[in-house]
Amino acid sequence: MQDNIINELYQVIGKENVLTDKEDLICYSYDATSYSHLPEVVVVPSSAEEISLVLKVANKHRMPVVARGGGTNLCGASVPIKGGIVLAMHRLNKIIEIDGDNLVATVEAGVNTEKFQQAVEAKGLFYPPDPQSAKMSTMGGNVAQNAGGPRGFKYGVTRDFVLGMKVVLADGTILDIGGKTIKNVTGYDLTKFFTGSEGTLGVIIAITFRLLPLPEAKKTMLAVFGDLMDGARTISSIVKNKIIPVTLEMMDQETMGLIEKSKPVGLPTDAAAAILIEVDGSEHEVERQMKKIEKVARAEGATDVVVARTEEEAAKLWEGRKAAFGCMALSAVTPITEDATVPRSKLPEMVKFIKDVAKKYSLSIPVLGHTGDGNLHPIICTDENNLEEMERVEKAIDEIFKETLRLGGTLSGEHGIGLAKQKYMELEVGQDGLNLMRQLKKAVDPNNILNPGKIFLQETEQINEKA
Amino acid sequence: MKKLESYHDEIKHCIRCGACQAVCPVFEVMEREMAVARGRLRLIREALEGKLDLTDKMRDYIDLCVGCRLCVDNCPAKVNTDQIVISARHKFVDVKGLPFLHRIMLEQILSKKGNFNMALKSLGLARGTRLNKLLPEQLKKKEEILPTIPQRTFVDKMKEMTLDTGAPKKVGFFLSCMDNFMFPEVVEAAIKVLQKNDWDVVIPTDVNCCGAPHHVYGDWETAAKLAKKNIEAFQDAEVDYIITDCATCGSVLKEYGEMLSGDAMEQKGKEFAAKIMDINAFLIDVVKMKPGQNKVSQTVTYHDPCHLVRHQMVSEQPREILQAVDGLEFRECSDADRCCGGAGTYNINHYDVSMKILDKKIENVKDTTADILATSCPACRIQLSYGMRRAGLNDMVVHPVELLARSYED
Repeated sequence: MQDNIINELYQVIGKENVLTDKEDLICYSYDATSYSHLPEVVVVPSSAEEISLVLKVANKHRMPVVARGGGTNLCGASVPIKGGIVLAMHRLNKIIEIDGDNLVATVEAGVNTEKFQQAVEAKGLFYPPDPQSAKMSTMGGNVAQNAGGPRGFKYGVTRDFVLGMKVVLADGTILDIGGKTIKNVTGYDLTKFFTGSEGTLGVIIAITFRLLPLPEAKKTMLAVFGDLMDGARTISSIVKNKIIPVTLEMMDQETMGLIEKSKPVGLPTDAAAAILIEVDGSEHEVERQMKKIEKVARAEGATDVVVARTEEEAAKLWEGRKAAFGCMALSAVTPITEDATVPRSKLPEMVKFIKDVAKKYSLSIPVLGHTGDGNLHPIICTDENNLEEMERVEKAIDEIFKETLRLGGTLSGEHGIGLAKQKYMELEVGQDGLNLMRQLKKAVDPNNILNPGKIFLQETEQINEKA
Repeated sequence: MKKLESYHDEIKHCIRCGACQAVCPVFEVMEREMAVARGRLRLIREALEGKLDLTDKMRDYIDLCVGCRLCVDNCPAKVNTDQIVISARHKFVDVKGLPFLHRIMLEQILSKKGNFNMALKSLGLARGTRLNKLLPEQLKKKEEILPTIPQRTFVDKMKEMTLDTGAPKKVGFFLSCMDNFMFPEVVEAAIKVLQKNDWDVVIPTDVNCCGAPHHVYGDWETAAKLAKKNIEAFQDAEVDYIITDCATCGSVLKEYGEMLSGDAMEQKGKEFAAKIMDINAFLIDVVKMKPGQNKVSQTVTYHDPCHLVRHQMVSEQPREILQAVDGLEFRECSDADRCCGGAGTYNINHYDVSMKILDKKIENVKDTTADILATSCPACRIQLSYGMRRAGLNDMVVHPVELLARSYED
């Protein structure tokens, strides 16, 4: 990078917050995928004003800018594949307000997701979205990627809780959009526009979220199956019976085996599948739902239904589930997590399809997922250095996506497009859809400095892939 | 010990899920990616693949690891980052030698008991004449970390003690440098407790530093030399167990087999390592100790040393000891097993980071409102005492065996 740009950055944000040594750049070159690329500079801002100044410098010099929170992205969205500036957002870590009167909270983008959840729960409030990386992820990252999680089944995803935000545009303009009200139809819904934009439309600085009262009671149970398809059918059946638990997390035998190997939490590794179910509500409602769920599960062939007796027992089971992605690394150096999502009724069909594809291409594809909302996470356990196998992986992914779309589903339920799913975009949204998205992007970021090379396929770009 | 190159495959199993960010005490206060396992592993990997030179900056980042093993415990892929970091430091020593200050500390002070003694005596003298007040501000703060240095070392005191009481059983005791020079009262308490439970204690006084500082900073050659001397010091002890009240010593003594791998003394190292036991674990699991009748009417909380809870998997026994003492009320501290930031000389080398980690620990200790803070490692004790003094609290940090000793009649 040219010295004059670095000097300008020094001036606007202070030398100590501008990192240019190779050792520093390496540490901001990756996320939780296997993509990586060195940025030219890492900037560590502490306010909207500083970020605005940095963006003005970047826009003037046409420098790419990628905002990065916890770096736990699963689609490559936070990898600076065009070099340029990485904005490390951790210093923006204040919970600005938890407003119990209005059931809303405002936080800075760098606030840790789990810390935010704990802070609102301490006041008897509830922020449901629970990406499984909550211990490491940031609220800004959650909004930029429109993160989901197991509770999405009952409560929806991050988007369903965003009411307002402060965002810095590519030219440095600081913009406040939305607000504290649940209802707001004043003009276009800009908050939703930026939510899930993967850092390509603006840098999210602070967000106002809608909150719920913390449910009076919750319980966790585990339904165990001798056949994966019984489990898949149970999910569809629960939904059909108009029961909405908080989560319906299915894990197949392979997944449970890997979790148990790393974090023994007591999953039934001899079973073909298990569904981790959480229900909440009033004490009475919780009891009622659990009974009904058990009945449905047993009718569909559950061999056992176990209820966690204590909160600790429940927390332990969830700890295992949360570590699932990392646990895949025990068996593979390149676990590729897909997040194909189908209409709920199609779930058994999709599960079977994935298992067939795994067999067809001789691949190890443990399946887990937030199956209640049709959101599957087949994790292809591979090694990218094994080129022959990677070819088979590629073919398997192609087939999985095509089938997902044929069943009326979507490429990504909650991880985003980033780099990983660009080439399938057109299949789902069509040429016209893609064109509209590109035009919108161009309107807000005419110089294409904000996270360039993401979402939209750019054949000419060189990506340095590495596990 | 394994060379850095042999960890290349293991490092590849870091799929950068970021789970280490949730637990790393250094990351918690620095919030930068190079201060967490994921970043360190990536730097090491780039170096191993020839894409990054072994630079001073990389060395600084590797040195920032406090060695607490929290990341290893929490890593879904079970990557042994703490071992990899130690191997990386060894690589640096191999290629670039020890940095000047480490060389003085490791080669001239910690390896030579006389020099260590002299250094601490000089500090006592400087304090007595208030010369320490003339130190530059940064150095003065660091000097304040060290506790009051007792007039007499344990070895001095031992000359007047009767260790052979003709008890039916005897156990070896590895005397740590810190206990000898700074906390002789802990060893005295340990002897009392063991004798009250019909065990005699054998304490060879020609032991050397356990080698932990050398080992973790990559000076494996000196560490191996010290290991051999220590094994020889116990040659004639004829004991089945060798105990220590220092969590750090214990953790490294247990590795003597691997530290001497390939050496003629490897087998002896393994046998020696197999005898090592933490004093808390020994008192509960082997001695099945019985506390005395005296009431100790105070409240106490406990800090788990990283080198005990995660390196040696000992966490229940010290609590059992505290709960067994009549009158003593035990209060669990939140995040009791999180690092205090002491980590040997980490608090001297990385004062600011260490103090931020310490302040979080002291806040948690404060919340328990306990009268006494117990811990099982002299290095933690030095750090925690300093933290209590900094926070204007009563500096009441002791080893569990000291409280247990108070329960017996004299």
